[in-house]
Amino acid sequence: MGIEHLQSTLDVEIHQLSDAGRKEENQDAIGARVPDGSLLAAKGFALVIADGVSAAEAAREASQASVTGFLTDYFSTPDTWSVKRSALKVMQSLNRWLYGQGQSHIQGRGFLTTFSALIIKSNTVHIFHVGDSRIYRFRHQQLELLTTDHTRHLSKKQFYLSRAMGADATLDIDYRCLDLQAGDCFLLTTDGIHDVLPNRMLHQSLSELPRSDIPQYLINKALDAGSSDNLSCQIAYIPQLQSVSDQEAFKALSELPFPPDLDVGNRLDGYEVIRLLHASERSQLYLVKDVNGRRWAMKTPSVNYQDDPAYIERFVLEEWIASRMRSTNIVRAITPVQRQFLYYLTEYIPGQTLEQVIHERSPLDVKDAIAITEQTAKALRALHQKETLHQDIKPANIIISKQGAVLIDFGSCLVAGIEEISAPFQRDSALGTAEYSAPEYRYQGPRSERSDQFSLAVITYEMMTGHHPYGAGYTKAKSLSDFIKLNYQSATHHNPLVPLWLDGALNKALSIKPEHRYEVLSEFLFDLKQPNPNFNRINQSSLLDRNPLRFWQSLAAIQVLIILALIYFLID
Amino acid sequence: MSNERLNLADFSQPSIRTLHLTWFAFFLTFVIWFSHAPLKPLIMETFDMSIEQWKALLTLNVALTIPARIIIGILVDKFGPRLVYSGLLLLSGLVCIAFASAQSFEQLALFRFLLGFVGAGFVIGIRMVGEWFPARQVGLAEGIYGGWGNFGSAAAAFMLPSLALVIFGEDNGWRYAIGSTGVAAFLYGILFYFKARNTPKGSTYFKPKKSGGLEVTSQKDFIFYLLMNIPMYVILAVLAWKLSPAGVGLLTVTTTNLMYGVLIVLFAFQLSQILKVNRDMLKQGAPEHDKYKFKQVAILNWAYFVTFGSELAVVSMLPAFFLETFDGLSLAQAGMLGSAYAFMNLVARPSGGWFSDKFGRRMSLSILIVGLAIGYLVLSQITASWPIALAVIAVMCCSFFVQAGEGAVFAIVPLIKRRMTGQIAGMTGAYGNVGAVTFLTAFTFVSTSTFFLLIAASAVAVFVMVQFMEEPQGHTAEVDDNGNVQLIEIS
Repeated sequence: MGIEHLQSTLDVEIHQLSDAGRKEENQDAIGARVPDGSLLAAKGFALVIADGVSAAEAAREASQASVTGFLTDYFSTPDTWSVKRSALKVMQSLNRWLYGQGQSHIQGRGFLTTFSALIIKSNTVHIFHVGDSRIYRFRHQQLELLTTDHTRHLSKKQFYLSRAMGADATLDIDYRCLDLQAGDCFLLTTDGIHDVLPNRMLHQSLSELPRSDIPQYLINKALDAGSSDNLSCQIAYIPQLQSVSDQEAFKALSELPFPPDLDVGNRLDGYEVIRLLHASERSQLYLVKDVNGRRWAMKTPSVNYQDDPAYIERFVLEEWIASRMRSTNIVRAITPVQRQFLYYLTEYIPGQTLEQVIHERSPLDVKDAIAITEQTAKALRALHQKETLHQDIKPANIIISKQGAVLIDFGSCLVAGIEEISAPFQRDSALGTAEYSAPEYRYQGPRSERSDQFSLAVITYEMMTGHHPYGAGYTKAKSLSDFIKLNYQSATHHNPLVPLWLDGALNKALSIKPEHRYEVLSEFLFDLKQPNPNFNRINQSSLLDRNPLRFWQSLAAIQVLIILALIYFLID
Repeated sequence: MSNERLNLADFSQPSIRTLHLTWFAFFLTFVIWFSHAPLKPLIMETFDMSIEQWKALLTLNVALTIPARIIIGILVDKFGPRLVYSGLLLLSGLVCIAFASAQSFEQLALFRFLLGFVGAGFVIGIRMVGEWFPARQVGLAEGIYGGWGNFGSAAAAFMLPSLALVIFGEDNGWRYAIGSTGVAAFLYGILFYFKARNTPKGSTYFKPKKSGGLEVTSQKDFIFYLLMNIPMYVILAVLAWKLSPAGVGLLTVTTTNLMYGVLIVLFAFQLSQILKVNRDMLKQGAPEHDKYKFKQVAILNWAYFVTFGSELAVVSMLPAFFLETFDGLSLAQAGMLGSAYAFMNLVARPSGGWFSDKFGRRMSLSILIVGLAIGYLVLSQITASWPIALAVIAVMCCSFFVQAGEGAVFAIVPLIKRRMTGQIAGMTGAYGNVGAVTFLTAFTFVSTSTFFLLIAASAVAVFVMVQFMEEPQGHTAEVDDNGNVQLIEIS
């Protein structure tokens, strides 16, 4: 199971041509790739144009390597990643490779090239651009240049490229994201064409000629106009928006029926139910064994949501996500041999949930609490590396087994790569669990990896103290101002064994405002284990920082006293 | 960890504790809501009321419930069931005490009217129970919640007369009896706030989608739905007219006109909610897979109109009916006999659901409605010459069909459109109240035996409607003898 329900048949017309022109060697490179099926849904399709910088000696290699490298690597990035992240990562590594090639060559040959990529995923256009190749959009008889040439003029006639792939170890890439409309036509050209042909001519050819003739026509015209460079041109025309019709999506989603309530001894696709592990309003979790007697956990959807496509999508994605994560701290999903019903299987991890552990043993030993935090953080980092937010980190979703803490539930995840694909139904938006979800979920702020960091820190705090860092009022707060009024209660106050510096680290990770938390999870973990000298002074921080309201109140009270005293003495 | 079946004695489970807390809250609302019915002669005597005025009082009691359901629904969305149930119990406890200490018929009528609000308590608990139980248990849990809670009216009929006469003494005994139910509700409201929780600890929230009105899936159904909303307001308008100088004269002309105004505003408000929920559908049409027939909802609404509606109406008048028909009954005895009707709730509602699963849904509902039509026909024939025992048996048989019918209606509700079960259940429940107001308003015009005949006649009409209902699809899988779960081929 996966994202089949988001697949659509794509209607796109691509024409492209590259010509050496008056030069001996064609240093331009062009390429396009329209994948099939779920890869198209996850990654979209791409057009790439590159113009090797002729001043550099390895211009041809550089442009070719960039185009083929990009078209291969982009489609191999994790399908949970967003287009932006995928393409930028691939371009950065191509750039480093080109730069490295240039550096290591004995004669110092430069591997320099311009690079412009157009990626269309779902109904969004993404543009990545370095150098002076161009991407135009032709819409409603209007030609619009979407890229900016990275050139600097020395004089009217002389100019040089100010940015190129392979020029430096770091690269600044222009990124734009635009909406797509039916009938949009995109034109990609190298300077061999757009330096000599006026916009008027590009416009005219796009509006008058059959699209298949345009590349050849423009190249001929450019040659006629005296172009001395290589000439390349690509055209992509999108007659209609890709839309998965709601019917198709729902059909794909509801292909498998919901299993009925299972009793002990029932067999579903050969898996025999041993017992019910957990049932909630949203799902049931059974312990099952296969024909070989191996035990698995089987999660089935709740019939309450039988006709709710948003719920089914989430359910299906849970398996999809679990099967894409590799970590000892994340439960592994198994694909069953045959599947007649909607459910998914994971390895069965014997052990208590962290919720039970806290219930029975809190406060936990500080050392144990840190170890569990670290293991859970590993699972989180595996998710974050795949550009996936968990959004529902809570003790009930963590199992403490022999191999340490294991994360078991992915029902609320936000996957960047999936969010980009528009769905023909209104998606659910997870709000997490009141006690553990970060404030930004409830005041509608932007969510990030730091939101998961907050939830993790709530758990760490709870393990060490048995309390919530902001007390019972936390679940009632709704707006940002409600949250700011809450006071962080020092963990040391509940459990004197928690060192001050550790409390400082918790306090930081538990900041109401995401920007005050740790930038990355590893810094938090580091501070949990290494005393951070900044946090030992916490008690010396001024009243103004700790409790501004009290500070100003006290100040006002003192003023009143002084005024009264003055009045008393002066009037006498 | 979790039990497969509901173990009601397992108080260590938070879900079971919540169920008990919640059904008892509902039970108390029902006690308060029908506390006046078994004390009719005492109250009438104190205020020297006419029978007309008494019947108006009965109708007033259920009038406010219809708009209250909408308001309660919005409040529960905003504040959660725990706060709203506590608040409702506290407030209605106070109003109940006020009712008990009323000094004039006008005050009595006003407080009874306000107590109509307490009848909307049902909605709150349904939401709460739904959050606490997984799908396989939720039907049974809500059955217990509804059934045991409804039993509150029987408890009131059973206990209040004795309480009034024996414990508190005759003079103002009824005041203390009713007042004590108010005190109980008030105290329980406080307890409920401290003990109940909206959701299991650590349950994950998803933002609720559309709410406020029912989503329909075609333009024709949209019109149909709008039309189905009209009877709710028409019947309230009729009630206002009945209370105006043209009728009982409880309201002045100005107040009556004010009532009409309020009804129009309410209707407009509901219309705007319905439009808001359905705006996208009206513009773009509904997706094919999402379509359902509103006809199914409407038929269930009318079925509930005649079942639950008649139950609420009959429960209000039955103790007095016994007292007046048969000579030599004490007030307490009449109350107990009257409670025979609501007693059946404990078994009848679940049986209705069971019939429905077993013998087909349309068939079961049809038979039950025929049964209740005959039942009411029989009740209309009861005279002083009947042996009391026979009359009680007739009442119990009739109420069995009525309440089993209610169970059968709610067994079908989740099968129409799973995603909208809550909204459909809400509208069906509202129609139950419309039924109560309709029958009780009719009661103000006619004699008791005509009143029963009228219900029987409406049942016949509903029987015809039920024949137009399409048998909803049930399960798609079954378990064979070896324990293998298999798909049922749907041809």
